[in-house]
Amino acid sequence: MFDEDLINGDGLKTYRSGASEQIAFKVRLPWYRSLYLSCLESANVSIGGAPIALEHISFRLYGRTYPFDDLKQFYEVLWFVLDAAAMIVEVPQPLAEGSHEVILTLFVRIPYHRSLNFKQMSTCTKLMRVERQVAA
Amino acid sequence: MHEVDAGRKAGGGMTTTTSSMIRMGSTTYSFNDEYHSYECSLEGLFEKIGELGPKQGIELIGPQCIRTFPEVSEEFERIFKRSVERYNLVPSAFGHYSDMSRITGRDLTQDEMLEYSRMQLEGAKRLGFTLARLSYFSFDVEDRSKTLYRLLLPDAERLGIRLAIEIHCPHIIESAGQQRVIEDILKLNSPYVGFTLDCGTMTARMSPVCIQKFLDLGLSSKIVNRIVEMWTQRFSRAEIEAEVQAMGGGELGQLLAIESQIYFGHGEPAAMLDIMPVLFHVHGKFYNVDKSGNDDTVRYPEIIDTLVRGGYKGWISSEYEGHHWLKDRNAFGQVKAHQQLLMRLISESEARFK
Repeated sequence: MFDEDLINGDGLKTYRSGASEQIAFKVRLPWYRSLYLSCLESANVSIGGAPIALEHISFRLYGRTYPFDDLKQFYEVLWFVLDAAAMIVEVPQPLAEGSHEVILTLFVRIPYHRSLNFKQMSTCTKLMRVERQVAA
Repeated sequence: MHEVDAGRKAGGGMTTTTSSMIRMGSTTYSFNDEYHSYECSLEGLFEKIGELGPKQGIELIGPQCIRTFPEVSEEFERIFKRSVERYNLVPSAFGHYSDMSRITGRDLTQDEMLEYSRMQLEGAKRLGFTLARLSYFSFDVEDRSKTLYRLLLPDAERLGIRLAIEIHCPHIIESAGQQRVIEDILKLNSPYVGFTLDCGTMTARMSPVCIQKFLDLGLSSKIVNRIVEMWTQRFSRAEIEAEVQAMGGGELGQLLAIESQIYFGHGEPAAMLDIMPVLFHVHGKFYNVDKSGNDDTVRYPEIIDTLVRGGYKGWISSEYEGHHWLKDRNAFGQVKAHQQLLMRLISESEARFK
């Protein structure tokens, strides 16, 4: 229902991070109501056809960055439905200038469908343009 | 057995948009698309709902509208109360959530569940609500004294908030698990515990809007037709899923099989008469009001007849759900058309049962 907005905007911000590069893009919650970070169960990201391992994916919300796999602990942090968050992925080599196809699939646990053990899968594919940032 | 006249005289002074005791309202859920896409702000939603008619009921989905959910901030309280006044609204239902699997790996404990719900009810009270829709939770409770509605009853009485447990597909009034809850609540006989009934439990067919969406997504008409046929013949979800898999229906086929069960119920409107004393609130679920002003899926003519005959006096909160399949449908126009349909049916039924 909200898949088209899962990836929000069309910019890939890239930052040098030591020997590797960080890439950030905005995401919206693909559900009609706010959910807790603990409900974000898993994410598949690929950039230009190359899949990114989960340990190289982080999530940024309200000024704090979480390794994606740690989100399951944060059952009191509510991602308000109108707020954009950011996915941050780390890649060993800098991305080439220009545009890249980004595919994000997010698996979200709906916490009131207990007996159905219901997981919402949302997918969004977008052509995103590199916006290189000056290193901090 | 059903005291129609007594029931209808009891609330004679209420303002309504129809001549009956059935009142028109709308849930913020109807406007998911407009709100999520920033096309309409929260206050914009309140304003548009107010335009539907004087003393329009507003059902507020807590975690959709309130940033500090499950608590209600003073700022939100101020904005909401100002909007209620400015746009001539009536707080009709607070959309509560149990969120039993909020914590990864386990269910909430009884104390956690109670605290989470109590915060919501206290917030609802401050916003001026006297009814909370209690979100669906498991029927499989061994000890009925431990159900959320019994544990919350002292709070409901203290706050003056009626708990209205939602009956929603795949469960219908006639479901075995649902019947156990109904029996328990009738026995409890409290003015503070009853039901919100979702009209999606009483459908004539699967919505054409849903079917068209799956065809557009590329699911073959052979598989779509078979699912519709199996739904019509009331096969179980497991049977439909197994056959779709055998036919090579893939993920899309499975999704339609599941959606057929969670959106379109086979409940009989007449079954509402059995719960009329504890029917506190009705969710006017609908998927598409067409150009003729009729809904093609939900059995509204019989539903309204039964509500009028049973002396229902309460809100019908229009709940548009066509946005699950169709974007850019103008939910406000749909809700307006839906309420016109309901008011026409109510007038016709009242003329019949006079």
